[in-house]
Amino acid sequence: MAAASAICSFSQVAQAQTSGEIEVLQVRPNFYMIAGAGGNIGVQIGSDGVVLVNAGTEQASGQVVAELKKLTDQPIRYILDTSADPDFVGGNARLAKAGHTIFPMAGNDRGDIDKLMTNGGAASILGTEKVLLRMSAPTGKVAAFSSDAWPTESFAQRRKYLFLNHEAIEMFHEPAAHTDGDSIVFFRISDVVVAGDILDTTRFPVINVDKGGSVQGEIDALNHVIELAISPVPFVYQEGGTYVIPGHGRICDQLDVVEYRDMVVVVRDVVQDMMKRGMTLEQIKAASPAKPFERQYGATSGPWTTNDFVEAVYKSLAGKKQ
Amino acid sequence: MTNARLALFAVVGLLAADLRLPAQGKGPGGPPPNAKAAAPIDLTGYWVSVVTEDWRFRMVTPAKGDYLSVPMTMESKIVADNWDPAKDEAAGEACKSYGAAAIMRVPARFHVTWADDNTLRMDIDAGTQTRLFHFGGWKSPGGASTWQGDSVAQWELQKAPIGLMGQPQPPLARPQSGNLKVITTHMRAGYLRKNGVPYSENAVLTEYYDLVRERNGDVWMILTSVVRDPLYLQQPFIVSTHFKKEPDGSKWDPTPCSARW
Repeated sequence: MAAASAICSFSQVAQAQTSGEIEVLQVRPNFYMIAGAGGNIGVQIGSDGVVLVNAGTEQASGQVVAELKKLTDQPIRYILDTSADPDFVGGNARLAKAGHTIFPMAGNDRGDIDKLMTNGGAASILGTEKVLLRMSAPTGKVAAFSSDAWPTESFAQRRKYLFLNHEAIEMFHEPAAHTDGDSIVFFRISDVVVAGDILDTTRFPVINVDKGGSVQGEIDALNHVIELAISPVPFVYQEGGTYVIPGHGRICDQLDVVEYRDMVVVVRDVVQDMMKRGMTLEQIKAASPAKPFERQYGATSGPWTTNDFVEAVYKSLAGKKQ
Repeated sequence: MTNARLALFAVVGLLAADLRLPAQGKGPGGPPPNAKAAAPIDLTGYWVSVVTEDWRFRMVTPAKGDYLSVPMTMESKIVADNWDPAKDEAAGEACKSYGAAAIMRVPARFHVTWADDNTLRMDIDAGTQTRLFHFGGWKSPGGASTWQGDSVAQWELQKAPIGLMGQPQPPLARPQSGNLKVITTHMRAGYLRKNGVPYSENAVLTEYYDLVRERNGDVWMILTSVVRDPLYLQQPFIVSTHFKKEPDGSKWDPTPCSARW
C-alpha cells in the first residue's frame, strides 16, 4: 500500500523538485525518500536510528532535519554519501550534527564525552575515498567543504557493508560512472537501491569526464543496479519488485533502469559509429545522436544539456581510444 | 576511545586469520634463544598507513583549535592555542609531530627489520625517523630524551592450548600466536596532532601490534596505541591505526619533518 502511494506520487515529486518544496515519500514501511532538497535522500529508520543516503543541499538541510523529526524521534546515525556533489553532500555537516554517533561510548547525553569522539559525537559520514579527496584539500589549499562535512570513514575497496536496523546495507563503489567516486547503496531487506546520480530520470546521465566519469563506467554501474534489483516476476503486470531511488527524479523499478541503461547504450553506440566514420565532435552534435530520447531527457539550456551529454560520451570514448 | 577505534575492533574481528611463523629455535620443550626466534608473528617488511578515518586530523593539518577527540587538560589547551609552526621551525623543532606518540598516525611508509636478535627496528619515511624496540633485559642508556624515546618490547603470547579432557598440551618451541607490546618512555615533548596538541616528556606510550590476513592474501598490521600523560591528558588517549603490507620498498620516499605540511 505504501509502495502504491509512492508510485502515485511520482508526478508530485517532479513538481516538488521544480518548486523547491520538500516532499517525503514512503517507499517501504521503514524506508522513505525525501525529494526536493537537492539530490534525492534515502531514509532508513529502525531501532538503531536513522540511516541517510545523501544529505541534500546545505540550504535545504534545516528543512530535511524538520521532516525527519516528523518521521521519527530516533537520531541520525549514519550518512552514506553516493558522490561529492554539493546537492548530495551539502547537508552533511548540519545533518551529522543533528544526529548522534551510534557508538555507545558517547552514551545518550550530549556532553563532554562527545568531544572525545571522532566528529564530536555527531553521526558518522561514510563515502568512498574519492569523495573524501574531492571534498577536502591538502594543507594550504582551500577545501570544497569544511572539515565537519567530510566523511568520517572512507573506503577504497569495491564493497563496504553495515548492519543496522536489522538489515544488511551494502555500499558499492562504481568507479568511473557519473564521477570516479560514485557509490550505490543496497538495502537488502527493504529491497531498495539508492543509485545516486548514476540514475537521473530528469535528464541524460551527468557524466563528468573531468572528474573521472565515463560512459562505459556509467553503463557498468547501471548494469550493476539492474543486477541487484529484481522485477515482480511472475506477476509482471503489477508494480513492485525492487525500488530504485535515483539521484534526481522519480522512484524506479528494475525495468525503468533497464530502459535508461538501453538509452545510454544506444547513444554510446551511435556516437561511436559516427566517430568511426571520422566525424568531429561538432558534426556529431549537429547530427543529434540522442534524438530519439531528447523529448524525455533532453535540454537545450541549463546545467546539463543534450549537447553536454553527447560531448561527455564523445570525450570518454575518445579517451578510451587513446 | 574514538569511533575509529571501535570500528577497527570490528575489522580485527572480521579478519581473524592464522599468521603463525614456521617453527624455529630450539627443539621441543626449550625456550627460543632470543626475541627474533621467539616471534609469534612476523612484523618485518614494508607497511603503508591506510587512512580511512580521522582524515581531517591526519591527512591535512587541522586548524588551530580543532582538537576533537583528544581528552585535553586545560594546560594542554593553553599550549595548543599558542601553536606556532614558524616558531617550531626557528627552534629546530619541526619534528615535534613526528615523535613516537604521534608518528604512527602520520601518513607514511614503515620498514620493519631486525637490527639484531633482540632489537626490532622500524624506519619511517615521513620525517625520516627510526624507532627501536628493545626486547629482553634492555636498559635505557639515559641521557637527553629523544623524539622516539626508549621502547621496551615484549611478545604477548597465546596461552597453551587445552587438549582433550582438559589436559594441558606440551609447551611449543614457538608459540602459536600472539602480539607485540611496546612501552615507550623518555620521549622529547612533542605534538599528538600536527596543530600543536601537546604531549609532555612524562608521557608514556603503550602499543599493541597485531597481524591479520584477509582472504585475498592482504596482510594488515593493526596497532592500538594508548598515550598516558598526567600533564596534558585527562584520560588515556586511545586510537587504532591500520597498515597494509607492501610487497617491497619501491614506494619508499624519505622526507624531512615538516611543521606545517
